[in-house]
Amino acid sequence: MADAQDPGQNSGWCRMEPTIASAARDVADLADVKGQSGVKRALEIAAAGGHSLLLVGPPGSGKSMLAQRFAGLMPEMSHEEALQSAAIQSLSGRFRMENWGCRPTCAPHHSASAVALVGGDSPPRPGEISLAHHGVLFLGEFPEFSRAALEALREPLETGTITIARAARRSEFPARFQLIAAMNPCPCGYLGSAAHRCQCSLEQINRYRSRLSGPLMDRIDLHVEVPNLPAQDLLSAPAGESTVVIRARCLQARALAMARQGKANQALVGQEIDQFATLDAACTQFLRTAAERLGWSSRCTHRTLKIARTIADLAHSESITLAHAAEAMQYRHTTAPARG
Amino acid sequence: MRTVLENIQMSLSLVQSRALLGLEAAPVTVEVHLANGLPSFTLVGLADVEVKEARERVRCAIQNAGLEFPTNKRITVNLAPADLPKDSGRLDLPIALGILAASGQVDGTRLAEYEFAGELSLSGHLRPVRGALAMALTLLGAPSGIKLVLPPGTAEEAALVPGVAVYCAQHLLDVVRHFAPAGV
Repeated sequence: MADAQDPGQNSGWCRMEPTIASAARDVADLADVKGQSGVKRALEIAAAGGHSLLLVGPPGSGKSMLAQRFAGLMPEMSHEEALQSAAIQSLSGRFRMENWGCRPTCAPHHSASAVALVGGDSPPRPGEISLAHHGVLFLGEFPEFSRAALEALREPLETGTITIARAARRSEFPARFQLIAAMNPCPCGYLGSAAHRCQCSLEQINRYRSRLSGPLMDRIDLHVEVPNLPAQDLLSAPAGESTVVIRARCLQARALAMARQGKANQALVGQEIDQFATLDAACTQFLRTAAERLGWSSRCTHRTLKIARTIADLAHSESITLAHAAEAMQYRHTTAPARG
Repeated sequence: MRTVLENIQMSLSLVQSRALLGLEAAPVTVEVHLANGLPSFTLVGLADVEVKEARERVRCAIQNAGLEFPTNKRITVNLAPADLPKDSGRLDLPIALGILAASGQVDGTRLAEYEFAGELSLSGHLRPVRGALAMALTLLGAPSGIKLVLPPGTAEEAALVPGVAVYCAQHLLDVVRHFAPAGV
């Protein structure tokens, strides 16, 4: 037997030693995106506090470009996180050694079914939200996703896990992803644009926006408008801040939050919000008025508080001031569901 | 080798492997029994289509590797537990080793402290399987000194988990040579 034409005389058997490649990766830089300082600020807040983000803007304004550069702002993965992420990727055969420790950005097409998005099948397989565990889930053309697929996101957005129950088996997958969604303001895309006239009727706009349910919109922390950049600004504007600079600020803010409460601001629940996101009298009065006028749910109010906490962290401030609360508030009201 | 085969008394062998259930890797015992009777090759234990097809891959791989496939025996392969669904080609290698152990071509007693997973090509080369990290992470949770034997490509993944002993084998013959019975 040993004399037969052996492939690789005994060299085929070996003990594996862990080989972790940590090659420098080429990540797209935020400096590529010119202007849009308001949106970049929102990305910075989202990365610092782990908040989900909705970008609303006309076609070609750079929503996808911004979203694809978002993962670069997030902190390095810990060994534990990298293992979890790699284990899920490996389940669907997508893991590559060179991607070890690299935060994944999953960008499924809007034709994705609910099962493709959250997982399913028998035996259960992880969906895109689990593959984006500890990374970014980018959903472009947000309202074009099927209603079932979008509504399936609601529970995992809150809990960070998804339990798939089938007749014979049930499986639980982790799904702590950061959602970045992008959409146009109306079906033609040019509502509110200075350069183009919007062709849509009020009814069309209402129908388009009503594809996104209130409960889902309520769960997205930051709503930001991405305006179209005038041509002269695009051609003459200097390159913006690079990913490295913004990331350093995000990491500092995150470190503050970790030192204070041991988790990102977005993950604060129940009493922790009262304990760590304390407001002075003026702030409380301001937020109460805002919540009443805008008809916020209690979840929405809590989310605003968490965003204000992140903004205060970015400013290295111990307490939340009126300016922080006011900035947090403006990220909540840009996309009223539908106007009648 | 032939003479050893003729003298062998034991015709039952057990090989450990794992099936994937989400992120859990549930243990699976591959039991192989060689009996006298009409020659056949039966595979039971809630096996999916790709596991049933393992019969053809295993037969060809054993023969092409220059080993002996017991064509004159009634071969029964049981994948226990019986109610756990098994899919993918990961059980090819354990089934092949079970047959070789039951026919005395590898030392069955030494297989006990290892777990195997790998798809076989008809030539006997091992092909990568998915979910190796889930296997290694499960082993990490229950430290028992179990070692993993995996195909190239898959073994590198599993080795990322610290504290789990992982071996990589390129070919069925590499595994057989490592577990060769004493005195052969």
